[in-house]
Amino acid sequence: MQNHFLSLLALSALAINSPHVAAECFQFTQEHVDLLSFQWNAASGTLRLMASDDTHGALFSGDQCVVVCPELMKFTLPAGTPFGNEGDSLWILPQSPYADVPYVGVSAETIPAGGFNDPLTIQLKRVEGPGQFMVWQSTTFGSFDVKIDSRNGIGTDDKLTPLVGGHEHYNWGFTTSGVYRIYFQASGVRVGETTNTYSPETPFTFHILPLKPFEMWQATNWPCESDSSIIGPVADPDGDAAANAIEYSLGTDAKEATTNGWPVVSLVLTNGQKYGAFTYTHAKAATDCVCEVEVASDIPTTNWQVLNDIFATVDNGDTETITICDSMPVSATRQRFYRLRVTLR
Amino acid sequence: MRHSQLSGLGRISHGARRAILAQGNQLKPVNLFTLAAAGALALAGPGRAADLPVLTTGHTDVGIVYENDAWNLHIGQHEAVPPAEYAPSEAVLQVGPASQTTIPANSAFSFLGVAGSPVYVLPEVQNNALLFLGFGSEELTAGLFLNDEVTMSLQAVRGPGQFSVYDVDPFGNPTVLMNSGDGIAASDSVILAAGGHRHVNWAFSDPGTYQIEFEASGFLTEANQFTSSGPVTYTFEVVPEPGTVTLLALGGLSCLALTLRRRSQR
Repeated sequence: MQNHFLSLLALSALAINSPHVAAECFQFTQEHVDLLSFQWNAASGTLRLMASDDTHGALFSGDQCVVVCPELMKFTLPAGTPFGNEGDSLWILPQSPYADVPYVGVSAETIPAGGFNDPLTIQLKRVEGPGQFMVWQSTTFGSFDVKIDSRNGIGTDDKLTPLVGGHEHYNWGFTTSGVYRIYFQASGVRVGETTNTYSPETPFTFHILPLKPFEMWQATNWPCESDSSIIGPVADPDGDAAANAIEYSLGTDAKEATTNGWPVVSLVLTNGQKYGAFTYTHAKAATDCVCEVEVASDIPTTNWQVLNDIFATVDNGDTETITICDSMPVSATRQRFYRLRVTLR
Repeated sequence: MRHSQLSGLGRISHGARRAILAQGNQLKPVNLFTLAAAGALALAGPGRAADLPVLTTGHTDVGIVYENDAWNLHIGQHEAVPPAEYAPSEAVLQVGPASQTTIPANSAFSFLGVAGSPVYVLPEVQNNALLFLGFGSEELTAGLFLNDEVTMSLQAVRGPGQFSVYDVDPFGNPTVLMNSGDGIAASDSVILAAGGHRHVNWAFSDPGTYQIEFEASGFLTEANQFTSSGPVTYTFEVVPEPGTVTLLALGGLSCLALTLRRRSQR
């Protein structure tokens, strides 16, 4: 659980930066894509891993594309597999094509014969995500050739070993839904050499559906971005002092520095007495966050009190506007400070 | 069932082998000399023109194209250097010795035949010693066919044994796409996506040369019209591990001798 605060005191201290511009991003939802495709530049002597989209004949770098695994590919494990207990869930991008599911392969087709020795290597380096990651092939008679399994840690044996000029398909398994960034590094020994030529460690992004509402919001705003200093809940890429989690909750634009849509403080009349009131919007789609209005009589303080008295709620369609009334009338207080606490679940 | 008639030496070899497996007393008497010749010829690859290129390894596709209002089914080795493309009648797809394996006890694979029997499989998972054969529909233009799909259907198998195409799901269960072993029907087909390709296991029950007819079809969106390529014949040559053919021939001979003796005793 993460708490994020928006204090109205910060309103006067906005640092306005230029908005973050999202890179072009392609989402693989049903294509045949050789996601881990060796690209060798002989002139510069550099090796890269890129996504090769056979369907559209295009190449994408790891930060220009996302592989989307639909919810229909959530399987319940049968007995007798090495992927978990019977009954466990596993999301799988399969080695054979399914309708409306990305068909994800590996390719060294562009590596010229005689350029590198067999086999090449694609080493798993890191898995960022809510679950575990596995890669395997189902062989001719139904046995499992497990290539990668992050459940027992990530080691040198977590690798694929494609052949020069080769092309292969695998089953790509994820133990839970969510956003995964998976880092791979390609390498190979060039003919006539004894040491490896390496690609950079390259992250590829998988959206395993369903995403949590906040993940969906991140994916909508920055479909290909993996940098948590841009898309993380505490990040503030537009520099308007409202962290992403706050912008998400308020339904404001996280990529434009603005105070439009921010909470406001006012006075309301109840039973003949004036009360301070805090009015904020909440995006209805943001169902995985809890908003609380808190009040203190002085700052800094550790004594923030939660206010629960709803004065008014207005339905705006995608958002609702909620006004929370102070627990003490203005006449009984010298000064009051309000803040909005957003907790992501 | 649309099995075309087996012909010549291949038929004898097929009959002898089937007799060993299941139908020993159904075998018709044949000339022993012819049978021995069948075994010997199988090593050299019977029934094909000697000068055709034989494709033995590498990523190869049974390619499907529709352009200029016409189907073009071919054999593509698009990643070869230089890339190569052959008309189906202009090359032989070899199912090399490394393809020979044994049908497992797992009953899910009983469509291949009797557990423990040999079977020859070009696998869905690449084996460098074998042809890595898929169906290639990469060159089909998006929007041309309804749902961007075409159907590749099995029409006929002429050869010494059964032919099947299957893939294996993430949990190891086979999905049989085509199987001549239970007859050939409309269900012996695979749906291919425009712009896609598909790797499968290609299984043959017996060594020898197979003439396999496929037909591509689809519904043209713009013309609102069904179109079919008609049957197109591909040649597969199943080469067993060295020594196996001789043993097979000898096995066939002894079985035949036994059968003939039985018949003569009646």
